[in-house]
Amino acid sequence: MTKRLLAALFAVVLILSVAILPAYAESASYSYKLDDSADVLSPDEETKLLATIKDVSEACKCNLAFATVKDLNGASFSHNGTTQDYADMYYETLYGKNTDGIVVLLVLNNGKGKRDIYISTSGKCIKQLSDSEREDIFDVALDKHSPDSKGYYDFLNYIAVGIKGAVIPHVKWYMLPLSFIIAFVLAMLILSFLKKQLKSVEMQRGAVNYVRPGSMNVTAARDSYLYSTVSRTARPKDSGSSSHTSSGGGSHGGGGRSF
Amino acid sequence: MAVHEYKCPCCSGALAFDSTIQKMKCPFCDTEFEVEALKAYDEDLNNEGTDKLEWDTNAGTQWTTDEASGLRSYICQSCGGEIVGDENTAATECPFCGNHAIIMQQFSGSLKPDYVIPFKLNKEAAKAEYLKHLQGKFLLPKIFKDENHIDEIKGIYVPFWLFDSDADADIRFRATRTRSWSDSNYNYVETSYFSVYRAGNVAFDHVPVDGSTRMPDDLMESVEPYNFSEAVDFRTAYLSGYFADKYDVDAEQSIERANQRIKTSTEDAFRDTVQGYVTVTPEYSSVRLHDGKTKYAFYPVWLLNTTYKDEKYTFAMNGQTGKFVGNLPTDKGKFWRFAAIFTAVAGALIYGGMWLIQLL
Repeated sequence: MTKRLLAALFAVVLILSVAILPAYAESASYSYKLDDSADVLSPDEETKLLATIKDVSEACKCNLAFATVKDLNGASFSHNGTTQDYADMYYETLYGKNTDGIVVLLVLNNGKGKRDIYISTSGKCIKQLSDSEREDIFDVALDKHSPDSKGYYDFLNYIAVGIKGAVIPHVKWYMLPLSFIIAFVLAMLILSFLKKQLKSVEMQRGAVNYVRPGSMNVTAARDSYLYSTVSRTARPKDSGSSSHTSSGGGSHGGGGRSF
Repeated sequence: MAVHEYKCPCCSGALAFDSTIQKMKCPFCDTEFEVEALKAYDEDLNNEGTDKLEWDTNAGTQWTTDEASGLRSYICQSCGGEIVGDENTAATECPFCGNHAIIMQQFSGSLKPDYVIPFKLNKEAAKAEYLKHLQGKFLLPKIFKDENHIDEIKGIYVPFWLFDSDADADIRFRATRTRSWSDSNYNYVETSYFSVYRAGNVAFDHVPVDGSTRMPDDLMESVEPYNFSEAVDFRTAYLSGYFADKYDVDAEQSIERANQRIKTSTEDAFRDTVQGYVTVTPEYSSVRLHDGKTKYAFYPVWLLNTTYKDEKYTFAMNGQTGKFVGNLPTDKGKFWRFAAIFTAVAGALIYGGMWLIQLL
């Protein structure tokens, strides 16, 4: 019994490693880029941020570009005039359609007197960076590293760090004890079923075996409606990743904020 | 006191009821007799019993102190040995010669059962069912299965009270139905409440209640149901070769349990007519019984005893249908070993699965 279980455990570990190792063994090369056209960073900051971007690109195994522009005009590629399509087309121009990667675009003037920050994802990164993870990154970046008080370096640097945390495969720490708690509850369920097999002596609930066949006779049956109540609960927010198609035909995920 | 055994008309050996052929059979000369055919012979033997009554009573007087403490002694008709039983013993065997003895007095007057369901399964069937009962039970200690030692196996006719009754019922339930829908922000659930009323009647036939304190009630209810259509008018001949006790819980005392079972099943039956609701909760229920009749019957049970770690385990098999019951011990070591290994393996699998989902 124990030997068989150990053998099964070993087989599982083997399968897991066979399935996982190739993912790490992949040696495709990924590019990274920082394009500060809006000139919001000092040369020092640019060097530091580029190092971070390089690190994130390598850790996430995807292309990563950060771009700042004054406005959406004067692009070297065609787009339909929205921040979203600008970011999507910017990515496609750099790395091609449906490759694995992310572009972070900062627009200082979106034409409506506001700034835009936008993250566009492509390829496997669409799934890896979920909508809620992206919104969390924006929340913290805008709240704690607001460009109004601390300049753009902290703001963009946090976004890079946030992307790294979200895109690298990760399982939350409490999942480990939770996994074993779930397994223990399952074990107890199975054991209670097995224990029930050993117990066959109990009082009968009723006398259902002794009802005279056909003797049941319902002489009155009334179902009267009394009243109704309505309760409502908020719908849980969708935790997946939404996606759309760019004007160039590539598939992208992502979203942005105006501030 | 009158002890009765059925003598073979051919060789005078003691006859026993053979459950496989449903006849009386002489174990010495293998002659078979129909139970009904023995009826006349049975009456003759009854007369013999009356003749010997005086003699036995004299013998019995020496045992008055034992009688007062619930003991009864009888003289074996075959070997003259003394058979000691208690005040309820109705059929037993002689400890000296093994012949089957039936104590007629236990069936006189109102003590005579109305029906008996004869044994259909023999001792070998009971042993086979016992082995089957031990199969496929993961938590059963291996040593219990391997030792597999049956201390005692006995075919017993257990006294049952059978209750027939018509039940009238008025039952009111509170029932709910739900409907759900959602818009972009909320999920809505509408719960509608109904008052559901049902009235009607249902009849019960032969609801059995154990009439012997020596038999545990839960064990006897566990081997149910018995198929009453195979019951026959009582003849003491059926008891030959088996053990039997007369009842020591009378019909009055058994009514409460019968009522309880009939009431529960009546409520369940009407509950089942309430369809199309999500929840149904009884609010009020009135069950009235009438035309109740009580009968006294002997039902066949094979009783097996075994000992494991100084504890006694009792098993029972329905002598008519072969339904086998009896609680078994749990291997505590195996229980916790399984819990630990399963938790470790399944926990690692679940956690590994979470990583796998992330990585793929």
